[in-house]
Amino acid sequence: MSRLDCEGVRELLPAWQDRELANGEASAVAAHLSGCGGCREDEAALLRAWNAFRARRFGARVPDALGANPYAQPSWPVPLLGWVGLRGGFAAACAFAALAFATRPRACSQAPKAWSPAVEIAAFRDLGAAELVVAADPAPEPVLTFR
Amino acid sequence: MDFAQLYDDYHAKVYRLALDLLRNEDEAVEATQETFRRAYAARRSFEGRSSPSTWLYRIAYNWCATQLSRNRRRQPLPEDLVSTEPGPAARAESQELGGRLAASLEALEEDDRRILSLLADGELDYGGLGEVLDLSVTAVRMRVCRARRRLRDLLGREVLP
Repeated sequence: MSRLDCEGVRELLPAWQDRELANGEASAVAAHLSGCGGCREDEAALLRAWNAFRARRFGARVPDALGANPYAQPSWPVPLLGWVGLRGGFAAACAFAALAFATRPRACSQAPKAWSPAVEIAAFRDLGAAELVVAADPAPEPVLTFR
Repeated sequence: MDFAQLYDDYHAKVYRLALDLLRNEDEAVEATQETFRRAYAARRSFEGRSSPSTWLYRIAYNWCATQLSRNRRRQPLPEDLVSTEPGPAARAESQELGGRLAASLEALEEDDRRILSLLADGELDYGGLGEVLDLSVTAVRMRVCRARRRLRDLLGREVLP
């Protein structure tokens, strides 16, 4: 190989190592290297320097300030607070309110009758009570005894 | 776009790129945070014509280039661009490759350092580099070749026998 050929190949060596040559050029470089010790040495020196440069970079420690991912999304419940989540929550709240309204305890149509001894006595008479004793004060509330 | 996943996948790479370009850990952290903040703000306009990594690297590179030009105006002496406080990265660098290697890398020209830093993670091919730097693939190939040969010359003489 002539010096010009070697010079041409050496110009291509970085791109050859980076796999950026077209097939024809890559084959030509490989063929030249197989028969040229000087270019092989040059290729090896290029690679050593490049590996040293890259190794120096990978030795750099990434500071803790960058370790925590500020863009990581918590799994619960923040995603549900998005627009879709808010709409769904609103619909669920409406459905719950409608259900609660439909099943609410109804007020009695008739007011409860006030307790009356006369009414109770009449009821006991209907049952055939022989004697009815009404406890007097100081009982805290009326007591009816059925005998 | 799963932006949280994008952050997990690329924040370390963006930080190393920024550290390479700015050579200051605090500024590199700020550049990384700013890169993702800008990307997040523009995520809906990302059309997918380039890869997410190319898009992020372009944002990061532009931010760092702006910072570098501001630093130059603020601190005209070249040595002032380099943090004099040895941080963890610098210590690791020293342990791993030795002071002579670090000193040799400091001698890299700014343009060479930029293009090699963008290429070093393996995320960008020459086409992606062209998108980040607004260069044709042919121009990228020439610049990469020149930068790699200068790197070889710098390291090959003394550091890497």
